[in-house]
Amino acid sequence: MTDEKKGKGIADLLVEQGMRFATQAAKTVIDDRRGQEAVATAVGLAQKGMKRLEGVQEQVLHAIGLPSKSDYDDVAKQMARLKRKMRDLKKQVDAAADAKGARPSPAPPAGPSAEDDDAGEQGDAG
Amino acid sequence: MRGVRFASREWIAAVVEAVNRHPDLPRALAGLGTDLAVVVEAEPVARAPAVAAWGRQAGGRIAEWRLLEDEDDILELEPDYVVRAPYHLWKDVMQARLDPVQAALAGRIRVKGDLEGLVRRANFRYIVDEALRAVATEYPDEVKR
Repeated sequence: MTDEKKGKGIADLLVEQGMRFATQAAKTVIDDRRGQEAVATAVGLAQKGMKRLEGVQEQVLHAIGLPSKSDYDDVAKQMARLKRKMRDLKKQVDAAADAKGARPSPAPPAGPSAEDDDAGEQGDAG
Repeated sequence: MRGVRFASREWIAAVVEAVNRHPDLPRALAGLGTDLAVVVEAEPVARAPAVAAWGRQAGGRIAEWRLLEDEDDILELEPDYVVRAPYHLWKDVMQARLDPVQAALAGRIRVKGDLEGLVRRANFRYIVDEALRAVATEYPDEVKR
């Protein structure tokens, strides 16, 4: 157990040191105008590569009749839209109920039995 | 002096106002996508709730913004950029202990969208830094219980 902790400690230390060096290196590169351009270009190429890979992946998945990431994204988007519409509807219903004065008052705190319902509002004890 | 609570409606309004006042903002925004969503992931230990906000630029300024009731609204809005990080990382960025570009490149701050365009504008970071300095911020984990 102690050895494990010690091992973790050393691993953490190494990661921390590595991160520090990497951050320092990245800072040096990004602080320089040309370095910044180079990093931006590399990032752009990496993103374009990822997009192309996703495109190929999508074609392959569709070819074998399986849903791709974009299909899941579409479903998630539709779900989000439904969720938002339900929320809007609930607001409209609540507003209409408020306007009519028919909206039930918030439930009383749990505890008192149904027999206490007629007791009306209770102030703070004491 | 008490500050405005980080990521609250008032805080975002104050930061947006300060950013919009900067004369260099139109140059920084030129060529970028039109809208962006920012997500602060909740950290209950720090008493920081989840926050999602969306903003749109037009005419070289942040023309509109709103707090989202549900983070999933981002899926429907499909903004050009989604920037997401846990609360403690945002705090590190706000307090200049973490460089946002490096954090994005390292994957600590997750950016969805054209990261290349953002990296190319890294030298405009002073606009946001100055705006943040102009708004006294109160962090939820620093508020005495």
